Amino acid sequence: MGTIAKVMVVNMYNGLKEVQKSMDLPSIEQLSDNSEDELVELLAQCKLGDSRAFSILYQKTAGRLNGIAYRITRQVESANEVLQEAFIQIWQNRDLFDADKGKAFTWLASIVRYRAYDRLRYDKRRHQHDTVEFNEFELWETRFDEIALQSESIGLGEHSEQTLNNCLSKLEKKQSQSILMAYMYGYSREDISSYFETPVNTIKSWIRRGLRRLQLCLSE
Amino acid sequence: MSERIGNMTNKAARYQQTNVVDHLASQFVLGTLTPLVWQRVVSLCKDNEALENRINFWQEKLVSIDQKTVEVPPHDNSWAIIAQALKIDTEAKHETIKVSQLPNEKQSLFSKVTDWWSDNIFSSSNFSVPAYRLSAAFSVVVLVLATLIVNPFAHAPEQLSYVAVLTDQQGSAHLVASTYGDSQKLVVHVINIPDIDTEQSLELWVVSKTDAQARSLGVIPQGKSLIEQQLTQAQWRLIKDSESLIVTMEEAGGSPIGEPSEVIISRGLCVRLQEWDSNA
Repeated sequence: MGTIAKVMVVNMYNGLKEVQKSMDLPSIEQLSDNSEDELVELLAQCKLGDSRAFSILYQKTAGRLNGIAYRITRQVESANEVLQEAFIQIWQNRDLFDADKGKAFTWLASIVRYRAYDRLRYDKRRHQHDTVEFNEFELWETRFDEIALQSESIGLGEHSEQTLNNCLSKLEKKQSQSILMAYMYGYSREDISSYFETPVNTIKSWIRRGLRRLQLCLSE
Repeated sequence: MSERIGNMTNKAARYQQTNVVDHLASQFVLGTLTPLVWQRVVSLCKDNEALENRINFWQEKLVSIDQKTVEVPPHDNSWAIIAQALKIDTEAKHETIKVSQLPNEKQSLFSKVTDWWSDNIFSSSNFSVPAYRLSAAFSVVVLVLATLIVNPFAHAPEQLSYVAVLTDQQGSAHLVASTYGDSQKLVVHVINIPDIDTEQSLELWVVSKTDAQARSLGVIPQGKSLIEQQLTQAQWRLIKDSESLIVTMEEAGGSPIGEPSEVIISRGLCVRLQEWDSNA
């Protein structure tokens, strides 16, 4: 094509890959440990009423958490409102975080995710005007790393991702698709039912069986 | 009274059963419980450690999906809204800076990517854009593109054919326009277009590769973030022959003369996805 735009887009894609390959990044485990420690420390300071720590916590995590909110709401404004509500909740519930029971980022992300699901219900949107294609989940199984090129800055580490990936791949396709539709994008069982043109009870059954098998696999 | 207490005890005992706990916890984390049941689970968690532990199990196991989610920088005023709502220390409020500007010794891969983007894409041009604006625009564009390519949830099971990222002169993304194979549908994701007054409209045009003429694809409705439009055969042919898309400022309702005004708000070149894939 030879146009600037094409060069830009291709460069963007190649650049992402290049940066990933060439940068002298700390290992995933090292990075996630440090980041997790940092978040735990910030939350500990928040518990003491340190609003500055809360401000730093916001700076460190707002982009990632807003990404989660956007993934579910698919509206920039809604995502920002979810983020704001979530941070208000995080501050108000800061005493409830217990590092012995779960990781800091998991706690933060869960608050955002649940608020985003709530937002979807409140708006009664739940992507009702959308039609859906789910070859994404095949990609998710086979090209997990390529899907979010820049997202490895913080994580539970490759092991957790691979384990989840492997376990999902062992499920029947419709089971894993249904689970991911719900978790990633907040689809209700009714939405999933519409997509598959299958009774809601069947969807419930797929999800229930899928989760049971997933739990067994993840617990191994 | 004793019957009521008995019922409550039975209910409490039921929520201790492993299969019930497993079911509630997993569906809770998945977000598939009805609001009423969801609230009940929240309430049960206060006294039901098994349920809480199982919820934690699922959250920890699935969070890697969230870790893989693309960052989206929040609005500039989000922190101010939070700080105001909580009436917290205004000093902390003043220290707020964009995530991408943080002097973080462990700069995220995302930030490094945006730096790379900035260095490689814009260094040789006349653009002078604050890093945070680039980061914001870039991340949203990446997100939209990833959504279009990787997660075509919002669209029918057709092949994405063309995509154009329309930006202003400073490189800030305004919208992403894409077309889909057989349905010949145009989908426009509005990212950040400038506000206009009621006497004006923004109009989307396709510029032909063959004769360099601009032809209208219609007015962009205000206040919508996702616009879908069925293209006519003629418009589809224009898309296939497109060199670029532009957005212009027009009188309310669109250009009265069928030609774009000189006030070009944003511009983006069309990329055919097959070409992109083969080059990637």
